[in-house]
Amino acid sequence: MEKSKVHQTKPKRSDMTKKQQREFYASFITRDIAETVTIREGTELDPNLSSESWGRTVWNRIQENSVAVHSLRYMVFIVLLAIFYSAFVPGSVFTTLGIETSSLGGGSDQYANLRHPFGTDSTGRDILMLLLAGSYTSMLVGIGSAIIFLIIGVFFGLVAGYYGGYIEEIIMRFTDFVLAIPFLLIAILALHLIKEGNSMLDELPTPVVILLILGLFGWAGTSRLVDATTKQVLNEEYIAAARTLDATDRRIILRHILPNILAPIIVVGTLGIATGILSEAGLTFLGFGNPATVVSWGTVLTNGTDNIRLHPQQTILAGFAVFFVAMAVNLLGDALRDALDPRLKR
Amino acid sequence: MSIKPKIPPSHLDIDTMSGMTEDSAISFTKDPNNKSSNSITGIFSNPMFVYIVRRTLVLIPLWFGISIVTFALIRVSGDPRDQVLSGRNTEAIRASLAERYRLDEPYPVQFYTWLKNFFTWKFGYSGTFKTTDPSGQMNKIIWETAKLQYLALILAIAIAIPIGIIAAKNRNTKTDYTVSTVALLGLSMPIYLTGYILIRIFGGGGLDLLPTGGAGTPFIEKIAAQKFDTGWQIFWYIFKDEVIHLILPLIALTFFQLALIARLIRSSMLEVLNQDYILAARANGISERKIIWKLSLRNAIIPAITFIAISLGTALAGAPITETVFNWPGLGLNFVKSLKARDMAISLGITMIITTFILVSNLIADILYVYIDPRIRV
Repeated sequence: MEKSKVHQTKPKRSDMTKKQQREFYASFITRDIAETVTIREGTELDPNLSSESWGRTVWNRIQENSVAVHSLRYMVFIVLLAIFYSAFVPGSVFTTLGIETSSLGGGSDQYANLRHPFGTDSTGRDILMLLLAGSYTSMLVGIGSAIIFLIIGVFFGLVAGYYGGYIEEIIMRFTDFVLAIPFLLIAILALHLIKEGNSMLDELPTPVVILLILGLFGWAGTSRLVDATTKQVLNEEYIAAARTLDATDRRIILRHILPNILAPIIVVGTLGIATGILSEAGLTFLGFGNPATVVSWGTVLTNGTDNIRLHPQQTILAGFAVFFVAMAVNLLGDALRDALDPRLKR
Repeated sequence: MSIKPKIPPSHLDIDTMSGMTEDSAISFTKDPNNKSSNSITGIFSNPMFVYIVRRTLVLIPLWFGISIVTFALIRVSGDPRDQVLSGRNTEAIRASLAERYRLDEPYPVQFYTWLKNFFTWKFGYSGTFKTTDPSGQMNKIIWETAKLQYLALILAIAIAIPIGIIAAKNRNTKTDYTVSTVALLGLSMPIYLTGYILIRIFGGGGLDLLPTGGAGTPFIEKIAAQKFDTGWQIFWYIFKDEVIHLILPLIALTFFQLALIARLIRSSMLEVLNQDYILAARANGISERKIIWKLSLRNAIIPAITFIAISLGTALAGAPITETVFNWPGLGLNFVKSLKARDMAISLGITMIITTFILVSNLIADILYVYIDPRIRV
């Protein structure tokens, strides 16, 4: 197999002295430079040789996949909606419809009609408007928690994988600890503590508290993944070359390792957005998440469950809002996984 | 390298068909010294045994760490008396309640008392069950959750493995797309959406075929005893009632679990089918059926088995939402209830029971991982 051949030709790093290593890798580098120079001096360049950047390759692959394009468009639409929702939502979403506003008797619990395409909820608020406005909270929690757990997980994973030894042992045991915690239960407990107790975090808005908790308890899987991939990359020649050229640890980690393990991180981060949105709605549904004063898909859903027998559309429409975003994110994650996989290079 | 059409019974021989490189051949040749487990020293030098013991010992500090964190979170979150009293707030009642909840003692003593109660399966005073010894109720709710979750897991495995294999076998055909779509729907659909759609279709207001909440009709034993005389008939009546109540939550849960396992099986099967040894097996004229169901599956199922082992624990942790939707009297619903009622004994007990399940299932996954795949060195 190819792998065993490589092992035959390449002397083990540990067998060589520092000087020998330097010469060994320097020979590669000078050869590369020599090749580059000859190409430059050549009169004609083969047009097929021009290499695309990594990002361009990935972008082209995503564009070939129509499902990925549609889910990406949907995600962009939802993010834009979350930022600019106030332009679509006239007035306050909390505007309730009194009895006098409808000839059908009462503005609350309306079925779908032309004035309110999704109907109204039990307090007479337009459900379409609520869902449009709720995209802000849901996307904030989804994207925010993904960013937080990525930062923590990637940091710990990189440090553990790069330094190894007892540093890795400590970090990975801590990761095991976080991974063994029943996530939903501890999230519920922590939310309960912050909202019921008299801690300083009381003053933070609930969505921010939720995204912090989801981020702070959700990084362990990422950390494990990054640790494993870092250790794989560490065996590559370019890391050894960079070390021989006396690159600092920071430079090696940030310039040489991180770009090369970016693919799985991007996929995990994308899927993390779906987890965040689902968890926000789930926690709210259980009564530990956003209070009714915050507009989010979770609160619309939870309000609807009170009269699920007569007006199931209130719950189910909010559920579908969550479902569509989760599906778009999952599709996008799958497409990214395929697009970022170097083994599938055509 | 040789392809054996018949799989030898010993798990160690899987590799004669799978890893074909010299490298991997060396790695799973075991040291003959380690195989002798006749004497006691033989057991201790067995790497598998040492591995299991080491993994088990790691769990103990983890368990205590999580129990301390949970205890702190619950204890700090508020005075359990506030919820119980709600108005009748006299000093005498407060003092008597403090005695009942053991609130006057310092935190370490309270923790120790709780720990002792947990290991003797007593849990302490429970406000939601209104008893000082809620062990009977705890056993019941553990049984209800385990019944639902594990039945769903078994059903999901039984469906997911065949459809995952079929999808991988017919890659990029309509069958594959259908399976992938179903798996994606199951993965993205939150259980409250699936649950409420099912309730709306099959419950009252829809077809009105199935009960939509609870694990059984209340007082079913009495009703059955009035209707029937023989023990067999009573048992059958109660059993039918339980099965009817199980159907909807089971469908919702299975749909979710199935999606995860089917995707896993499909992707690992695709990877295995691209391997050289499958090509060699095909070249040797081994029937397609044997290649798929014997040669590939043995390798493709490894990630799925570890995942399933982990699910034995994590399935319980996801219970609160499912059980709230279907009003299922299990660990999840009671956790939510006890937390809202500030019933420390129950919420702490449930968290630690689920944690124990998770830790043990992780241990099982770790052991199975090494046991199934001898290429992984201990």
